[in-house]
Amino acid sequence: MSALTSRHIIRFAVVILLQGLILRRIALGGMHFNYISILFYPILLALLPIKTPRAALLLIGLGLGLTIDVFYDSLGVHASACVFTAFIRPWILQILEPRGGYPVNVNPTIRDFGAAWFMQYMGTLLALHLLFYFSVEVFTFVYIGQILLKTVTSFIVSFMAILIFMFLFNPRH
Amino acid sequence: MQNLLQFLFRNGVVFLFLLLEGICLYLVVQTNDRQNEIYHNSANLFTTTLSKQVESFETYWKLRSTNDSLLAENAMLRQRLYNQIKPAPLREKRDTTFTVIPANVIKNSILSRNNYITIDAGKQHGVEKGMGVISDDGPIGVVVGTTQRYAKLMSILHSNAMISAAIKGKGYFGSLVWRSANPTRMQLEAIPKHANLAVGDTIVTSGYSHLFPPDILIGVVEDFRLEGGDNFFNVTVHLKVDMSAVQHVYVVRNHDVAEQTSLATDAEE
Repeated sequence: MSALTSRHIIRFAVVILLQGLILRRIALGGMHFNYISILFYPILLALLPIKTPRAALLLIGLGLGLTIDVFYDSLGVHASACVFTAFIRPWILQILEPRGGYPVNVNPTIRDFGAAWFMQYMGTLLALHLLFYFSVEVFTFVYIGQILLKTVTSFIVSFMAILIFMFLFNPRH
Repeated sequence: MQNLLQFLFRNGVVFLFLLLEGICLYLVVQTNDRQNEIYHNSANLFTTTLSKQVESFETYWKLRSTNDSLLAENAMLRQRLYNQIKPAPLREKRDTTFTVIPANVIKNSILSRNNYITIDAGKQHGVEKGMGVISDDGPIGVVVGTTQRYAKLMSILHSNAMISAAIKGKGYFGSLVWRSANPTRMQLEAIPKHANLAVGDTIVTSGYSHLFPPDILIGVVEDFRLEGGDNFFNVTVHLKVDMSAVQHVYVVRNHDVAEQTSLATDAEE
């Protein structure tokens, strides 16, 4: 197992535990405004190497989602959102592709592409992830307003959490 | 054929995505359905949001202490109720026949042929072998073993379990046993064929055994049939209690049990 793989595995383990044990319990909105959840784990899918095969991405997404679901006791909800995010990631990368394509040894990080690029990339990914997630969670478009409200509020805090992480640790991979 | 294979291969990722997404959504619906079945008739889980569940999980810890005090209060009210149901004695007034001890289920099974339940009340709370245990929705078992702080119950979903049950308002009584593997149905035996049964009849405890106070709702008649040449109906009873979700229970202590059993053994001798 290469050092890179083990690095990703450790990051998965740490972030999953962080999400499942700590972030899950934080209710920023309190009892009366239960619309804000911090979903930090999409960063795991975002930071996977650019050349990751698409099928592998989907399977990693499924595994990640199901693990998170175990903590949230909502089997399938996070998993479906993760699979969706893993599915659309290559397209987002394609849209944001720099002129001349991606160099061989770069990673989708602030270090390699700069803060502006990363914010576009992560922001799109996270917003779509949250939108899909809350759609499945609510499971009916009768409450479309609620879905959008949850997506927007959760996006703000989740995005901030992810950016803080990226600026603090500035990971190479 | 070759074209089809090429098409599938070229769009493999899309199909994998649709497959995995299908699995996920199936799981979502499936687990919701299961919870649906387990947690009573909250049939509108699709319209209520999962976030409400998350919320309820978060308030769960606060609920715990509230639950305990409510449980104690329930036990007290039940005790009063059971002692009142007894036919008003013209003779001297008795203080109490039944004492009710609240408890929580800490282990339960419904899957095997002979199921047992463990509760967190034992000898030190006054629980003894042979006492009946009920939940809010009806009888759930009989104490078969106790330690200082815990008791083991034979669930009503046990091949040896037998509850003396009666049809409310009609007076016929029989034994309720568990023949099927279905944890929501039991069979009522020994109802004579001339009994005027109807689907939907209410089944309650008869009070003839010393395990349970009389008139506790057990369930309703779902189906009854007479096998050829039989003198007794074969009655299927839909239980009111959901044995897979039993949580708060009450051990019923009958103070007259010694007197009643000694009478029975005296009579036999």
